[in-house]
Amino acid sequence: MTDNHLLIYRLAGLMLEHEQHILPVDLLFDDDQIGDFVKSIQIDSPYQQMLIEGVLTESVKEEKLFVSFTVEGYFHYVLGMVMESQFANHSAQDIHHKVSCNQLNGITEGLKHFLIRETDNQKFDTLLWFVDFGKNFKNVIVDSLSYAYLKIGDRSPVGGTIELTKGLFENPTDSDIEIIDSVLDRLEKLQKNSVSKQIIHEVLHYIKTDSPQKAGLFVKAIQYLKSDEKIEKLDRLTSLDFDNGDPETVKLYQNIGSEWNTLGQYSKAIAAYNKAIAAVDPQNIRQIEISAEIYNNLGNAFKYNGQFDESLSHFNKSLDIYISHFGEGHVALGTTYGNLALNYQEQDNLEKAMHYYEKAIMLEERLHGYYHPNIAITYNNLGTLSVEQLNFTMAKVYYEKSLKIFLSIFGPIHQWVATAYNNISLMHIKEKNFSLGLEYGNKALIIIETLFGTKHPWYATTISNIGGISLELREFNKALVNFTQGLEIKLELYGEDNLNIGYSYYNIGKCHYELKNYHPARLHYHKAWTIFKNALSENHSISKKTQDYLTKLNDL
Amino acid sequence: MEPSDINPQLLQAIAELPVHISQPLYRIYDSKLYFKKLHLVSDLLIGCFRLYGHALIQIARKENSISESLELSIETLLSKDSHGLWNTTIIKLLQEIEKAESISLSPEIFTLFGVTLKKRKQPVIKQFTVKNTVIDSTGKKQLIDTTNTPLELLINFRNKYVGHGTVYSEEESHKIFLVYENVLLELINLLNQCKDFQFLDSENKITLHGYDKICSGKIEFSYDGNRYQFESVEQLSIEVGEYLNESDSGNLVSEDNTDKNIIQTYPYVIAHPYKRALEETDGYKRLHLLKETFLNYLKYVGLITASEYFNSDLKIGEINRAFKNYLFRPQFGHWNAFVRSAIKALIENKHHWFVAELPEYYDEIETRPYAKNGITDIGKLIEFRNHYLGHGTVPSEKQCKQLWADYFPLLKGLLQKMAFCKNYTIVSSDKTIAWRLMGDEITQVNLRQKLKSNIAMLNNHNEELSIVPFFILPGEYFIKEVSERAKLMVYEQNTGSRIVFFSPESVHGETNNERVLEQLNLMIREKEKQEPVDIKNLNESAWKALLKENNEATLQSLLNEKKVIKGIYQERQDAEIALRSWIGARAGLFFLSAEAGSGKTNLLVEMSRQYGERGFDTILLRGNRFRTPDIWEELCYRLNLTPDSSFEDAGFVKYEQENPLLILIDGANENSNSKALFDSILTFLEKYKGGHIKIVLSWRVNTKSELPKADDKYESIIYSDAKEGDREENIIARSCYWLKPLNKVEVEGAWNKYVNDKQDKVRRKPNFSYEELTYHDRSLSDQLDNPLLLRLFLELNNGKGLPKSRGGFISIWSLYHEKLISQ
Repeated sequence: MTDNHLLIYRLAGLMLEHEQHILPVDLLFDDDQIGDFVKSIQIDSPYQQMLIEGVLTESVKEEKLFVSFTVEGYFHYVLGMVMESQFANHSAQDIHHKVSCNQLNGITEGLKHFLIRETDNQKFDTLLWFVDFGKNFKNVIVDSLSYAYLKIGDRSPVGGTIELTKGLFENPTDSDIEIIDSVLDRLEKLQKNSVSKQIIHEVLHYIKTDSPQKAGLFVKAIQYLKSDEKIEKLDRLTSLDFDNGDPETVKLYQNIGSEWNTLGQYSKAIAAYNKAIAAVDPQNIRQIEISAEIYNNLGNAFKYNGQFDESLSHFNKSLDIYISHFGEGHVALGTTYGNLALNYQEQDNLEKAMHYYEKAIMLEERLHGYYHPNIAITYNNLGTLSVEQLNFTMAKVYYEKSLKIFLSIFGPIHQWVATAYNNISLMHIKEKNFSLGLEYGNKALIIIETLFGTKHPWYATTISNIGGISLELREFNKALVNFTQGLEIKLELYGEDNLNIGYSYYNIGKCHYELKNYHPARLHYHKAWTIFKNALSENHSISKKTQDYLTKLNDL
Repeated sequence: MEPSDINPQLLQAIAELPVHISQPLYRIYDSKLYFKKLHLVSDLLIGCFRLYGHALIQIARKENSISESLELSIETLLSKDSHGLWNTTIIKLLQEIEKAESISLSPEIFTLFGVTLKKRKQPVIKQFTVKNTVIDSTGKKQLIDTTNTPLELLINFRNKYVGHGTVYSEEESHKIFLVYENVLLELINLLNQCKDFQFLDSENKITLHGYDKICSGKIEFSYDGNRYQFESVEQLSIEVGEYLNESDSGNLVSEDNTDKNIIQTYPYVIAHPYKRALEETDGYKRLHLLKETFLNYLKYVGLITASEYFNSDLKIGEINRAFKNYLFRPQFGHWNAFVRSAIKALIENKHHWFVAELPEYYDEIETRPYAKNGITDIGKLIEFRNHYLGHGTVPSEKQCKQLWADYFPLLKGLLQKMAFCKNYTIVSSDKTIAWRLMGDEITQVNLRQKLKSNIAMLNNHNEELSIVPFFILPGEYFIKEVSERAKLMVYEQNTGSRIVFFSPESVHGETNNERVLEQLNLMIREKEKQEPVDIKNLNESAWKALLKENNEATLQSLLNEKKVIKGIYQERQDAEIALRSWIGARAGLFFLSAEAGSGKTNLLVEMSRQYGERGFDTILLRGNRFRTPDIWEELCYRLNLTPDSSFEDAGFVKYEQENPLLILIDGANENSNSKALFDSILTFLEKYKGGHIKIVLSWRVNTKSELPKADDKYESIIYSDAKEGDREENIIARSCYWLKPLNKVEVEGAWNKYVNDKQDKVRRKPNFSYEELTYHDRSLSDQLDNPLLLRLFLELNNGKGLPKSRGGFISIWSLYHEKLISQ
């Protein structure tokens, strides 16, 4: 070993022995391996070099000098090396016992690095033992196992990894399932989908769905399948029956419901959520809380399915459970109030929508304080609602509150701030206050350009809106420039045959018409009409309007 | 040296071994000075390592036997070599060459370096035992046996006796040499057997074997039908005959009146080594004594400055910190750093100086020249020590003379300007006798009055400045072996449980005597102790000053440890938004969790700044620096408050839910009792419920299962921005904010910040971009979403091209470790 190696290694070894990650320097003075290094205050001594390089740190506490590794992660790595050497001939049980009894801060992370080193050497016995019996070290096992799979990459299992697969997937215990589930989460977090696929393959191959945990893992696995295969497997999973009252059963059906939701199959999602509700243990307070969540999910599923009354009823059930069991202050109530408000708003029941938005605000303010995005979003929604009610005074109040919060949290360049400016602009337009509408529209545009660039659909929409305002202000040349710019972007994004494009052509046609450029006006109106006729119908109001313009132009 | 004086085996070695070994060997037996012999043994060793090391590198390259980690070691060796690194590298090279089986090196060379051959016979690898005397901190003498191969023993010898820089007396040096001489002879015997390697100078094609040869630094040799060449002028060149017919004696330095004045009138701690240096006939030892005198000079200035402070009534945080940072275990440069900091602070606090001339003197020799030229005489002398007396080989007598001529005048100049020190007499007294410790001759005196402490400095008015425990009498605290040879012991370093002293006679002594330790610890404690204040007796500006001082001290400690690098911060938009959104919340605890190295500390420092910018009061604390695992006790300690203070009584500030006091605690998990600390925080926030006192707590974990648990009754004080559907049982697991790894844009942003940074001394600029790395080795680039690993990776690859792909996943920790151990 080099001097540095000896010093680092021995220091970690002493920390392990003394079960302290910070050691008195005095202790090291008398060490026969590294004492000479530590005692020397010459700049060339290995110990001084490690201090200068920042690998080690000395600190004074109560007039005593201590030393520690500056970088925790490196300390854990070295600890793993020390443990590899010290545990070389120890059984897994022995290792487990030693590590469990050791009070060293960082011992768990050291164990992780030790297990990783073992996997590097294609030794999996200890790791597999820990999977089955090392419940307290779950995170260590997950990390080490994830690492083992990362090393394999997306190649087929070779050599010792076949041993790993056998140990995990043949006759898997609940512990195995839990670990595999966590490993998949970990790999997802690390965005290692290609590696996850290998594990998924093994899950789908080996795992039998004879328990809710295993079925739950299966649900996770099928996310990586193609649509039709996914649907087939989800159908099968939905049909399975497990014991009611088991939290794993509830979790399973909830997950199945979410998957169906994502696939847009809301009726099936509803069926799965209902099974989850049926499985809830009414005596268990935690399960009751979950049931409130499930009712919320059902509310959304019914809404997306077009069943608004059912949707409302389930949102209300959710509400009742939260309030009756947890009081008015439950954190999830804000979301439920928000959902109810949106629902009522979509059904044009503005008064009830307002009621629930206000409840959401009160709750959010109490929980999160004034400066929170949720509050700002709700104020924003209240503003929109007020505009619909043509209550511009209140709309201004709400929008200003919303904007103030967004600015303080996100700063001046953020999409929420742009949204707020946009909404204020639209409000002013509705109020026929076009110059203010233009002012706020331009503010939104600057932010959108900064954040998303000039090829983004939002930019296209906003610049077109500004064109609309210019049109109202009879600034036709300006309007023409804006609409044309918007059209160019939309053509890139959507192609010719799109309703959005149709409107752009219509607006450009109008500008030319007002500017008495009749030939281009005719051209653009014709293009618009073609799109409207195909996308809507000839009898649609906009189609008829376009036709009217074309007729006028023909007469000119 | 007469041939008849030494044994035939040695004669043969001197005549036949390569000059890099035979010349220092010749000098060892030519010199009559044992101190020099010790250093020459080290030179012989390094000569052997460099020559054979370079040769084996060439062979290994030809056989393609050099792994990535060996490349790292070789790269370090070519610029900054050391005995230990050469040894381990050579061992690995031999192992790799043998594994390759394409070339058969002689078994003798394996035996020389202690490498066992598995498939072939080799001469026995003998082990030797040496007995070393060690005096421990209790003063007990111990004899320790060390058994190892000759090479390993000599490396240990080098680290123990030469690496320290201690100037041993001839008697001591002789004893050490006798202990190791047989080991050296065995090494020579082993080298004599390695006849297969015959080296030539590439330029003049003359053999390099024999002590009187010269070497251009370019060498060639043949082995097994192959011809090899290597070159390293700095490490391998040897100039003509400077060492031949050198005499240790007759090289006296003449003393002038200034020298006599210093020797006769200056404090003993300076006068004695100064005299020894002037009287030393060997040029090399003289240089070492020059260094010792310089060090004693620095210590004198430093310890007198410290004594000025500790004897005053002042309590200055800056000096307390400087003492802890610099003077617990001071290298050369630390003495100067302490003096600079302390004198400045003492002047600012209008200290009444005992040694009135000291501040002006320091300004003249250090502060002003540094401001003008950026370099001072003290700086040059430190440079001299590092460059010539560190790892370098023993210079020739001529070189030593030149160095003396260059650097001695600098020290002399510093001492001349310090003539005022004559007016401050250092005296010591035990119960019966008093001594005057001025000049090289210590004399007995009768003092007009009894001293208050047993070593003190007296001025012309007979006023006294205690300089204990920085200067102590050896008789009281050390064993006979030390006290017989030393008249005065000077503070060298302190661990808190023992103090190491060094005398002007170059005698080392350690003591854990409670009286001395307690005296020093008490002095430090007294300076830090301030009478706690009840918060209601503070006003707003005093309160804010306390917060500011605490935060600056915390930030400085983070900067010192390089946990935070000035000017480099990568925005963590999501986390910052969450921490800004929470300011007005009712819940008092924001729990921030993340893996090691993910940027929690930097984020907290940044938020402390942002909160301050927004007008909020903040307190920044480090979990691993708490005195006790109790938040209130720590706050009282840091802000010097009485334990019965209460925030409610702080009438000068009105903390509210929308305008809270924000306490940021970094790395709470690193506290020695993190659970107790966490519980105390919950209790504290429960007491100060309502959101007017808020805590951000950062905690290092890998997964949710490692998070501390909190009772459900604390739900209202724990801030949660959790999404619906979070089904964790533990409130903390449900509520905590996970600091996500950097996304790709953030990684690139951080990368560019490091690359473009010009403030920090450490360079982090590889010759490739992040994008290029991603295409080249995805497994490496993916690890860089951890800010710490990103920083380490950039340091490792500073100035280098894309790292060689190792086929598969390689952890950055492995790379970092390989680099560290290869140095």
